[in-house]
Amino acid sequence: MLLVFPLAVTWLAAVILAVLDGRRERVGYVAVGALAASAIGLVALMVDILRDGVAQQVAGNWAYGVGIQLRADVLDVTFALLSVVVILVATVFEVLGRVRSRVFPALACFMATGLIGLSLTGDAFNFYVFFEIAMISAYVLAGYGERTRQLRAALIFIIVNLLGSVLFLIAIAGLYHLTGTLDMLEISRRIPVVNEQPSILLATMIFVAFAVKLGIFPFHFWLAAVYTGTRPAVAAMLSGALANIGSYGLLRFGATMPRELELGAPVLLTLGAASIIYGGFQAISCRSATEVLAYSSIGQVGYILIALGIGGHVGLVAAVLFSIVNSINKTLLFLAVPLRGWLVGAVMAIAAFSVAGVPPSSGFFGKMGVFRAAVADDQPLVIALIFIGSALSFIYMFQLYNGRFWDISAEETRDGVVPSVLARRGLVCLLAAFVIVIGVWPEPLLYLSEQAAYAIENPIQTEPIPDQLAGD
Amino acid sequence: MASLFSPAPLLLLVALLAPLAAFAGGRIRPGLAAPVGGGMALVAFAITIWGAALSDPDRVSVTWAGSWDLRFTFVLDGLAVVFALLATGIGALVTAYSARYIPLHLHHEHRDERDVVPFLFYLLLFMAAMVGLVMAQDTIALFLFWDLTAVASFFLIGYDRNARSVQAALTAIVITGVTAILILIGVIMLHDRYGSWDLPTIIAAVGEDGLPGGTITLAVALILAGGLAKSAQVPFHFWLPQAMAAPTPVSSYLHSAAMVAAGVFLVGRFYPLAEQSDLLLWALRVVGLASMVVGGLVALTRRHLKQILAWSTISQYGYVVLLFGLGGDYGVAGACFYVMAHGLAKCALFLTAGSVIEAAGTSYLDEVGGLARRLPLLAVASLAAAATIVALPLTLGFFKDELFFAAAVETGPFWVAASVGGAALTFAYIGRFWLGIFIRHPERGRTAQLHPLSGLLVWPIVVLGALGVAGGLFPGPITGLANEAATVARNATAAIDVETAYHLDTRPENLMALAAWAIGIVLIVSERLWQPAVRAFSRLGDIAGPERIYDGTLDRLNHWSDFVRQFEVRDLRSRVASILAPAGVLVAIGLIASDPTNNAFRVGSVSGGDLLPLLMMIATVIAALTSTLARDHFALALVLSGVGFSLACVYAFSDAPNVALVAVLIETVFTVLFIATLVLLPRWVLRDVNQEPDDHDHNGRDAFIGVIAGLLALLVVWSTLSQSSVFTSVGDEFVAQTPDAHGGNVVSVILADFRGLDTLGEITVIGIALLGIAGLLYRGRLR
Amino acid sequence: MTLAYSLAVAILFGTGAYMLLKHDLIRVAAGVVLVSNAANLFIIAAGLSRGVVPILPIPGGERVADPVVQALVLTAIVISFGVTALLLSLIYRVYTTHLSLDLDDLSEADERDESEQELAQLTGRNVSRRAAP
Repeated sequence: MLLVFPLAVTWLAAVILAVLDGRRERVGYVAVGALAASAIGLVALMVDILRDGVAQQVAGNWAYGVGIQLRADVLDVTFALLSVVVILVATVFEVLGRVRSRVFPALACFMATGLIGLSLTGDAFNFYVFFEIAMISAYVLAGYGERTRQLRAALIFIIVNLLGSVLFLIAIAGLYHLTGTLDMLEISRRIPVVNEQPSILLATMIFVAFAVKLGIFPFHFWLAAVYTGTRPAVAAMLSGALANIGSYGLLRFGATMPRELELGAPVLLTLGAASIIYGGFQAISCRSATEVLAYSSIGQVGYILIALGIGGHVGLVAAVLFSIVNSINKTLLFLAVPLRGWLVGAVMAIAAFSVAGVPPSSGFFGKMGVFRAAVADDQPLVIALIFIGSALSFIYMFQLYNGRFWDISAEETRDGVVPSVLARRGLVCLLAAFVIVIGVWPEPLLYLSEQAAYAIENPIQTEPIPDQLAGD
Repeated sequence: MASLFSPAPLLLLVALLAPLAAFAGGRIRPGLAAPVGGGMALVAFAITIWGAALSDPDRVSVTWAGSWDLRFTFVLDGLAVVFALLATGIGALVTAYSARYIPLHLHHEHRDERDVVPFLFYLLLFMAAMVGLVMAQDTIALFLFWDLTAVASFFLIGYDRNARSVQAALTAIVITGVTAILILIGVIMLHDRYGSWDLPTIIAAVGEDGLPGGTITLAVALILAGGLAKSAQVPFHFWLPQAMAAPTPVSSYLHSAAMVAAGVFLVGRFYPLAEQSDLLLWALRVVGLASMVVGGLVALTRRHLKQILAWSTISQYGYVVLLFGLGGDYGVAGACFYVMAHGLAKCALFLTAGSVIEAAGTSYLDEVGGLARRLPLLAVASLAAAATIVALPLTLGFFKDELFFAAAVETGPFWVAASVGGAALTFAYIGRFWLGIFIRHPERGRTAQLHPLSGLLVWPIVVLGALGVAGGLFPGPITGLANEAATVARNATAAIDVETAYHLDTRPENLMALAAWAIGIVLIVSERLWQPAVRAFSRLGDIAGPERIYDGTLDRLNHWSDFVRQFEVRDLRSRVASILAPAGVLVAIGLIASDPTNNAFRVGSVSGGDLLPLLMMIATVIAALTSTLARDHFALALVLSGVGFSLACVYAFSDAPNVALVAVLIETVFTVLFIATLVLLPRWVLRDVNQEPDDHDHNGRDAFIGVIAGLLALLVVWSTLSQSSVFTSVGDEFVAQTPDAHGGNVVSVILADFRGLDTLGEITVIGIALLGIAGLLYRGRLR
Repeated sequence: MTLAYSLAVAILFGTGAYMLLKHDLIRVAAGVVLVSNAANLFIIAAGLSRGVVPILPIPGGERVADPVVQALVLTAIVISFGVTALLLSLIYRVYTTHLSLDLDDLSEADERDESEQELAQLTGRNVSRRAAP
């Protein structure tokens, strides 16, 4: 029941909201309520899982292996919760200002449905379906605001990501062909027996699909245009929630195909390092704040890739941890950038410190995790690259901060410019406070990451689906 | 765990509350911030003394983050006491001074007087960070407070928000922030080896027989490098003179008790490890000596009052680092002693500079002069401070040099010479500073009207000067503190007991002191002779020094970044290409990595039943290829539907009637939609875009990428299909269970029942698409 | 047949990719359609068994065509239809705002926007460069 509730509540809300005019404040709050309820449901589910272990349920109550299996371990719920919270915050942000389109609240809920669904499902094709739900909502949302700039951004976003989706779909079909099942747990059991070559090629396709979502160098070329072109709330959703598909997908499918993940480690490390350096490097000369953030995103996801490439327990912990931290940072930054007025400077400073990995902010533990993984794995080159990446992040974040809040010639915080809606500023302050609280008391976050990594390493033991090797 | 009511937790609590209390007080009335904050700092000072009086160091330890085995362990040991006394005591004095200075400063800068509140907040935050830093035993907690000092310094240095201070803040945060990462890496390396974040545990695990191997030496070296950068040691020293852009109280606090002191504190904290490697000790000596010389020489050339002091700090901390490098009981106790003596005196000198600037309205040495008669109290107080730094007898400073000389004598003749030279330089630049302000006549005859000085701008200096003299008369307590700190820093089992007393004999230390003073006096008198040479040296530093390298690197980074930007892909087509091409490369790598020979790509057999699907596939392919040639959009639409319909036939002939039916349906709707879109668009738009030829190289590139994409798909698909599955399909289960679901058509049962969730999702997708389309078209009517 | 399916999928995908690279938005949409079709065909080809139509009753002893892939491809076809339809309407909408279907025109518009934005939104660049001493 708990497994279905978060999914059902956002879906139902979305369907109802679809026929209402989302520009009215009350309608917006319905979406907020639904998302909050879903988040609470996920927290309850998390408590359940931490107590009793993995939750599963077969949709339609068919036998295991026949129906679609919903399955949630700590990793799944962590990412579902993360995505919902980010969407919730972004939606609140938009509702506190003014919603400009009748479909915005419904789409936010649909996107949440998709992201929760793909986290909680245990079925590869079902993953694809939810993935598409999230993506198509994002396509529509990217055009939200409907000025010419947003429309162009949406166009780029759709076409590039469609290509990624197609690659992913091909990979799923291929996995079915190789293993005869769509259940991911079952795939992970059968895939080691399969010939290495096709499985590696399919894993490559999956990697490319998620790399496009995450915006990893060299698959990132769509990202800057889209993140800068969309409205702040949407950019926050895309970078804070939708990009989680990439990190979660890599973790989940990495857990499904550990052999392929291990073989791909050099590629992950190379591309991760390239992303870190390239993103940081580009961010330095960016002209607008959102552009800095967009390129910074490219750099930051590189850390996730590196952590994954290093692998092992510390690597997985670092990957999960960094994904969470990065997602929160990006949400905060994209929401805070357009704001003006008292306290916004402080919020931006906190965000800048978090991106640069300075304690006491959540970003510190993300970076520390990656360093730990690199040290544990004895990778001096990787350590050096992460170090350079961090140095770059210091430079671009503080150039940005200084230019924006301290440059007297561009001084606009005091007078002249009308400060933004107080409630919006309050919201980003809350988020910034959250970043600090995690930085001071990281235990919950670390615990979740440890448990999530543990869940990846130790998949649950269910009855295998009855099957004889055809060759026997 | 000790109770909360003991020095360690109480000190931390009071220190951490101080900035918040000051902030809260300041929100009520800006004038309240300083008394509240200063009061809290005094309380913290008192608690530190209480802690120092206890026989056993007080400790508190609570779990911080159990998952990673992090603990908040704080111990108020000898080393911590020394630095905590400085941080809180000087913190209180500087707060008092700022209460008067900052409002004046704000007035000059035409800023709101309420801005004093954030200033005091960050200043006290700095103090809190220092207190936490010096007591932390858990290396990660230590790092947390370490970076907190960087954060506080960032805001303090940038406080004035003009181009210079913003630049200085950026330099400071980049240098100290980035080098801090070195510390983090070092600490993690230690943890990786010894499985603990707890410093005493690590020290115990390392043992006393030298550092085990290069990795650990490297780890400690990284940590020391971070510390030295913060202590503004060569070659990271340049951030410090830049940081003079901050208001004077900040400089005085930064130099005497906080930021720069934190660096040498870190060296002291990790000294039990560093001490075990001769290599590291040598490195410390080299860096210390270099900083001592460079700082001293440049200080001789500067005109700006605060710049002289800034470079003198670099030089003075060079002494401390050198003392650590020389090692032994004298070296380490001397270092701790030195930090205290220097802290008091340097703070006083900075505050003097601030007051003089405030009074005379200029900050250049050659524009002030002869102030002794007009500001006698200030002159005397700062004379005491200056005497402390140049180590005249009857001041605390005398003993710092005695210990320094003693350590040098223990080590060797070269270091004797070096230490005398360093002391002589100190004598010269401090003499130049004090004499220039209070005795000599200004070179550029601008003895303007003096502004009256408020008591708060003088009395803190008097207190510090008096302390310097008192310490000179009764060095016992300070020596005791230094000994206890050294005991901690050397991890010694027996308490270190270095004595300080006046000896009227010809021991080497005394002779060296006399020599230093003599050379110093000669230097002051003969300024005209050496000034050009030293200037040239300083200019050399400007031209080729690390500051230039740093600036150059930053500039070049910006340039390169600009340059690379030009190549950033900007149009959609290249964006698509930039996904397909690397994907192709990755697939090729995957193919090579997975032993291309192991999977025989199979052609497969064609049986009689396959003939029809095969034919239709050929039709599909031909239609697809034709689509690339279609000139007209309507022709394109037709060809496209041809692809769709022939695919539907493939499905139909592959025993998939359900699919075929739906495919036909969808294809029909789609074709209508496609053509409808074309009809809606005006003819000229279509014509325009059609006639615009693709330029030549694009066409070639497109074809190339197309082929790559095709090859990529071919490899993946063929490789996969060539595998006949070794497993039975879940499909068999579906067929078997279909009757249970009350259906006959397996596929529709799967869709409606077994995999109903997929269908629900698919309907949702269509719904969202409709929502989007409705929105787009509703808004999209041409106006 | 294995090779035949593979070649057909590859050619569909390749031509689709080629079309995606055109500057004409209509052709780009066509490219999307082709690429999706390639995936759909591959799903059918990925079926693990060939045989009779999977509708009960099944003649004794006969193998059925894999019903799973048929179900999957149905879902996939519908989803790709939805997305393509959305894309078409977006293209139409882009036309109404830019009065062009040419990607080159859109890129130009992007650049124009960017330079306007640069003027409006200055960042740290001006301070990052060292202020003249």
